[in-house]
Amino acid sequence: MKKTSAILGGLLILSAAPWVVAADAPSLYDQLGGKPAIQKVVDDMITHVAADPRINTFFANANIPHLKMELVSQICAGTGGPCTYTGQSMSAAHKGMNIDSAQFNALVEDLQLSLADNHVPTGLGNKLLAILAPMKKDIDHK
Amino acid sequence: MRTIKLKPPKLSSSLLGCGMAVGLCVTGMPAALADEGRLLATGGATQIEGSAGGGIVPWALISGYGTEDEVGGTAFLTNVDVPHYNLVSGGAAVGLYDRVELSYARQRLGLDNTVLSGLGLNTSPAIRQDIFGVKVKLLGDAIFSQDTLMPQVSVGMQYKRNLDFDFIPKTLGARSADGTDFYVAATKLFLGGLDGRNVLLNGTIRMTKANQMGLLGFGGPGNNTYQAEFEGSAGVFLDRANTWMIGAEYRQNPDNGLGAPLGVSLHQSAYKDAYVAYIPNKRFALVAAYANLGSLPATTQPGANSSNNSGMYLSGQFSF
Repeated sequence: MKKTSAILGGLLILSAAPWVVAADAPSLYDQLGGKPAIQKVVDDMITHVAADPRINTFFANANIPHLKMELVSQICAGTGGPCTYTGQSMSAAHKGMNIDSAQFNALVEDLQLSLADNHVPTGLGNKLLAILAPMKKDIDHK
Repeated sequence: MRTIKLKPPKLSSSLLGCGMAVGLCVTGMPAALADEGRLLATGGATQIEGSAGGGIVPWALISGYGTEDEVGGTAFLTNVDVPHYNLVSGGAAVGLYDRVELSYARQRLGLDNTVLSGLGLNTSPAIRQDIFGVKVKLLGDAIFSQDTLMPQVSVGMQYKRNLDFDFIPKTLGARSADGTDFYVAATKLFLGGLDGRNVLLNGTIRMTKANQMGLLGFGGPGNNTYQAEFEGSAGVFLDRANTWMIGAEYRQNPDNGLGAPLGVSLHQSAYKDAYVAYIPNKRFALVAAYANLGSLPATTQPGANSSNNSGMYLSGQFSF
């Protein structure tokens, strides 16, 4: 009996999401500081990317202002801000680029550096990463 | 725009040290060409039987920092001191393409000279065993599937060969010198899961006949069949960079009635630990824990009962 209940307890732990979101909680967008704050995080992330030999060649010929605008729009929309992302889907945008997991993760690390640079509270940064993380499956190995 | 892809070289460059490690390396050295494409802390530590995991529980994560395009691995050394016993475990693991993990560990359980007084022995011997592990990731992604509750699920086996079976385990009534544990592990990271902190949960079910992981052999006078045992881990990352983690683990063990031939009752109970992990970079990880290795006998005097054994657990891991 003891064993069975421990197993059940373990499965319950795994099946329960440990977060609770209140219905009237401010959006992550507002908590992050709105569009100016998101723009700053994106700007600084791109600065880190440009200095990152693991991935900067991907962006060597990119239209950086346009890229930043799309990223801000995407994060704004994803965090509950007043934006609609109108750019390409992630899988279309990365098709044929042969980005691998290590390169995707390099970008994540550059974003983490930018979040730290901008003193974004750890909890808000983690929640932002949680929103962006599922995009990996549409970005790498395309 | 399409540009030329720079493919990281494979294992050849992987031992160049922190200087070549990726951006989160504390020394802030330039980035990196080693096979460390996964994010910090996502290879776990090495549990005491040599598999990627926590301290006492194997997790579904694959050892090292290699992605599905890379080969990585770890080497580890762990020391646990509890009353009358010292357990040292050391070994290495290779993670192949974030899919398959191969591991080896040697365990040595040292006993002080009071333990064997009931056998008329006045020595400080040791029991050793080898553990060969295989783990295969079946499905899921513990880190990136944040839009679902689906964990990463792996299955594994640990083949264990006790090298000192005839000395003590057999005397206590163990049936076999070797045995194989089979397990399924489910692991998931919840980004921002607890008050904004990243939370890792793991549940493992192990089929086993092992007494004290196999250090006291397999099977016994009371039972010689496989038992399903639950093992669980929960941990919270404290900081932004995921370098500090605290958590706890629990691991059930079968009770095979060891000790009966001597008139000693060695009920095997669950292992537990509470740990602090420090993961400063993708090279090193340190885990310190207060661990309870269940019941080990303080003496083998007739009529003696097993006593609880808690003590300090220290583990160091090097990733390559």
